Amino acid sequence: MIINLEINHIKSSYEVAPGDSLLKVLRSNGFFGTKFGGCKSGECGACTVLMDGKPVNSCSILAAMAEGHSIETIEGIGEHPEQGWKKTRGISNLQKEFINSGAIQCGYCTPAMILAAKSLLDKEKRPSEEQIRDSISGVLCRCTGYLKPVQAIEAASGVKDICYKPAIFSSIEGKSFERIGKEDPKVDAFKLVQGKAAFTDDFEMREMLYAKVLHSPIAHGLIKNIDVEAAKNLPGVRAVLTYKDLPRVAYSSAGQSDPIPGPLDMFSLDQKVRFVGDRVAFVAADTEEIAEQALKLIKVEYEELPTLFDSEKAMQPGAPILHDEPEYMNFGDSDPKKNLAAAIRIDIGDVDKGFQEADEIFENVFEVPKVQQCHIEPHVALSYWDENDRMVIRTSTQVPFHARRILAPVLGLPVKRIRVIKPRIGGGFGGKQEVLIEDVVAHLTIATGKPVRYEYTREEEFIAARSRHPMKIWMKTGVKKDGTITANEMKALTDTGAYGCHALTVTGNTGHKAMALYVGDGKYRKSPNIRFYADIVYTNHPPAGAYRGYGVPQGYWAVERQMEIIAKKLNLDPIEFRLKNALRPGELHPFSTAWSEGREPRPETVHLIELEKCVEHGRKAINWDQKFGNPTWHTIPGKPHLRKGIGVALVMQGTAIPYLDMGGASIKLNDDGSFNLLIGATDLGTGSDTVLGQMAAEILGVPLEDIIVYSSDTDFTPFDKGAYASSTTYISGGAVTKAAKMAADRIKIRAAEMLSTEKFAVTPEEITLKHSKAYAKDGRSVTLQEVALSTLHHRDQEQIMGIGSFMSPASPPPFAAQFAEITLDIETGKLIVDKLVMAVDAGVVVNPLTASGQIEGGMIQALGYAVCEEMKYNNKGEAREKDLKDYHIFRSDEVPQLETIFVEAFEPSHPFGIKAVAEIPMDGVAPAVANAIADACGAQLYQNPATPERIWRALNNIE
Amino acid sequence: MIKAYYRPKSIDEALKLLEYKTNIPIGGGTSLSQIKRDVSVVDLQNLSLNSIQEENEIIRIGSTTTLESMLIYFDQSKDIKEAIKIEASRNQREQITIAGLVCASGGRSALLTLLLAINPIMKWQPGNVEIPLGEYLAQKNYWKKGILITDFVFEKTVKIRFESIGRSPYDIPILCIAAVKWSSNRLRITAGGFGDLPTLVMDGNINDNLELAIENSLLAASDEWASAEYRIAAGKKIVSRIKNEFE
Ligand code: FES
Ligand code: FES
Repeated sequence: MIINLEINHIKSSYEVAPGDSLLKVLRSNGFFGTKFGGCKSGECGACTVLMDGKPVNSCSILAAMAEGHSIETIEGIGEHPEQGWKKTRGISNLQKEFINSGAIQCGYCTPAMILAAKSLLDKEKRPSEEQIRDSISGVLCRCTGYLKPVQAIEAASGVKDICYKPAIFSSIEGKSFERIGKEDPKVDAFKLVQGKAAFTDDFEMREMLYAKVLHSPIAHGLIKNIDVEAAKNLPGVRAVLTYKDLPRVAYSSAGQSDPIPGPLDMFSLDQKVRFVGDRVAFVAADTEEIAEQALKLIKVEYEELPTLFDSEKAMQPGAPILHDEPEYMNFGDSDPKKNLAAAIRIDIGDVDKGFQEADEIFENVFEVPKVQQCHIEPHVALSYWDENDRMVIRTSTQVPFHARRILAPVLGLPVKRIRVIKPRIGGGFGGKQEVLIEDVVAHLTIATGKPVRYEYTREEEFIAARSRHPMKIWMKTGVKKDGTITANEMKALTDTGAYGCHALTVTGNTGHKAMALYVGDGKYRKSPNIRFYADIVYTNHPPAGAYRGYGVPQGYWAVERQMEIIAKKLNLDPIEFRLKNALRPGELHPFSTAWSEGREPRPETVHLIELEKCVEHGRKAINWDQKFGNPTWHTIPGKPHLRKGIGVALVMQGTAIPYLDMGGASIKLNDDGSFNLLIGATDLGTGSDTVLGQMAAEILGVPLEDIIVYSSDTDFTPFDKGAYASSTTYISGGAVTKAAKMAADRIKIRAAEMLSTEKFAVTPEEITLKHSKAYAKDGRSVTLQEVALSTLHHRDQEQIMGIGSFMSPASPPPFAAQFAEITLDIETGKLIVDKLVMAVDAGVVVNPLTASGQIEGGMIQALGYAVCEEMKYNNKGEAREKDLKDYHIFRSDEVPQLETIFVEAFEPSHPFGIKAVAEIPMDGVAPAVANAIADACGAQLYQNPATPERIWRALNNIE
Repeated sequence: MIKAYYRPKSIDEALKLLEYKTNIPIGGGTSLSQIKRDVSVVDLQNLSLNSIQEENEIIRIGSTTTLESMLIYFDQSKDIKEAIKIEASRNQREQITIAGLVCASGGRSALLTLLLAINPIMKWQPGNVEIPLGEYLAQKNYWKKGILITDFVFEKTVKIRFESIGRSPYDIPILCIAAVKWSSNRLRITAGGFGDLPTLVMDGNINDNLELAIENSLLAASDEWASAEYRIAAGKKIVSRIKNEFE
């Protein structure tokens, strides 16, 4: 049918099918700013457009329904102010404030947020914060925690003068930087705020096919028979692949360095299915609808096998065995005959003696759930053969280089015939540290010779993607009456699901980070007694994998609940008790002698620890001293069923994996004095392109806008291990620093020559680079443009460039104090979290905007872990949560007050003194909230999230 | 699969279209991807059924009135506002209509629970049928397809209380209780957050044994989200608070 639509005030006719959504019509006509979050019934709002000025989800409106209405998309809101000789009206005020405030992280939700905010500001000139929060409540953002978007809208409306800079308490003296420490807008903000076609799916090719995957409806079984004839014969179907069609190559989808520290236990397609959602067949067709129809025509006969859902039964004799395939490749202690994907046994000091020396022993059992990363952009990949018959895979990945290496044997191609391109990513949080769907498109491209695109639906994200590992954790702690910890033991049982992706390393970090913080006091400091044992077992649940925090939030739930219980029982101040036993500067990281992600451990001293200052500033911000232990504050007049509570958790993370993680960078000077910075590092919305650009700009003495950052293309950029383990700013930053220094040194040599006269010789050492010039000591200067023109065109021509790579022997941990304030209904268990404060010791803050954005967004993700997020399964292994309705992530209008404080100090192991911030906010929110619940009413929770029923049961001592 | 799209200009035209079994009304929260069979859709947006009017003691809400319009209209009622906000975010409120909500949502719906307590009169064509919402819901599967809901008529002078327990402020309720009190002391209480449809807890008098009523209503209210034991305990506390507030 032909419909007439008015889009951005332009009326045009469009040919559509009656069932086409408005989203589909917009995107197929180039309005790529309208994004898709994989929803079935309009939960995420990424597809927001304005219809007659009101925000609506274009995925759940038929295009035909929009006829007669005025549609506005982000493309109509603003554009680049200079397009060559054509001057435009530029971007809107709202867009400018989104850039200035740091409201854009991955940017996937940004067009939607801006449109929703515009709708409000068009009718309400001076809106309240409540109105602002309500106006964007239809747009879920997994990155920002909503604070900065709200501030941006407030600023755009002129309601408030907003200071975007977070509180920074710095002890750095005598170092002054031009760009480091500045709130430079993100280098990609301008394109993201305009909704430019920057993401994987914003790219279409001629004759592109659409892939769909048939997922297993049963949790464990053998495919006895699979009949694909009817599917193949459906017009428009170009390929149907089953396990019979593909070579059997065992691999791990975990995007990690070589050798992957885990078993190789999966195949692109297998005859056996091991969870509801496992892969059964791949289809490529001319349209998504045809591909979906084809899935329904595939007839599969399964032989159902006994299922295993209880991790405690996994290693018992007679348990169903998930992996009996002969190709299974062990790693470390994995043993498929016992359903054991990995095992860890770490003893530091003499733990049993430590327990004997204790006055009291505390033993508790804790449990943490499976949770989902919920990046708003689903997994999406597109593959094609290029003109040289090389496989190009454009994919939303955190690990392009690992993806290339892992895919090569799976596809039967050498590494050199694969190119992986990572465009902008709409959030990852570890979920895209997995080679999850790239093999699907590539196999189908091999089968058909055509470009193939595959995007997960939100339901597939829940049933077939990775998640945080659920664990059962047994804690045993020996303590003296004065609060000295004499020994601390954690035993963890991890459910890795059907495949062992990240099995060893995630759980290893549970102990490595969470059990390293409290070493004990007195003689125990020198020689702490710590035990960490873990079994990571297979079950017929969907596989777990990497998720921001990487095992550490699980550990801190147990450790920080345990500390709280001990402090309460021994009548100790919970903060003093913690600080008394916490690691101090100059002490050895206790695990550094015992474990290193399945590789050889090497002792590491932790030099910079500002935990006490974090506590000091955090407790002030939340007003701890007026609230904790104050009975009047805990009650609310006129509301006898409500109680207030306040809680704390101290945490440490890591910064990269020492002696392993490596990143590379190259930089070259252009004719106009600007630079191309090429990095393998993967910005998944965190702002790493920006902070790496800032480091280069600092050394080269130019504004950030003169650094053109291009990242993550395996053909064009140097290697980088990818975005995980809180390593990019530190590791890739080290590489950028080296590369920029090399280029700077060369510029200084050439500038010195240019500034030397017969009488006055200038040496390169005398040259300083700033304000895009090279200055001699006497104040004379040449611009970098002049240096560039001279070196590229005029004299002794050369390309000035630098290269660098960085691998660190250190992994300096960031530390933080996290606080929560809550209001609890003690009759029903209904919980409201009122405020979260985080004071973090992250070394030098390269960009306060991006860094505080990481903290705020991380806190709200962690709040989900604390109160509402969990994935549950019935006794057939079917998921309870398949969309963002049942799996609730926080909306803008229900988040608590957030406060971020940086305690800044110089980390000596890095040229710019930095540590990581990206993961640490995930660690302490859940225990701090639970500790606040205990403070409010005495109820001790052993399992998160703190749902109303769990709180009510704890309050009433009901099992 | 949607095979055809119609946008009738009059109620008569719409009714004619809806006579066909394969034609379904659209708008108001229909999930496009959940339409699995081959159908034609009838878009009701041109029927002028989207107004809210006050007439003496009643409020007449047109069937295609969006939840956003209701939120604006009921701006002074914090309980109605809360139920609407729990039901839907800003964007969804622009799309979901009151009739769409009544037809498509189930027992976990906060707003449907509240509407069941208010128990407005639903009107539909053909046949000028007028029926309380509670009666409609009780026999939902009985009503023949092809009807066109036109209005919901609310009484103005009732007192309304609504309380919801979720895992976060605007989460789908695990348990929600709505209560409406008339000046005659008639009290109607409903419970939601579970089951296929919200439950009528009681339609009686404020002096009735509310705790017993809620206990009886929630005895079988166990599901994967919460146990009946918990729902009963929490429900009793909420109804006793509501009673105190009404007294
Ligand atoms: S709401 Fe439309 S894609 Fe999520
Ligand atoms: S910035 Fe909002 S989803 Fe990433």
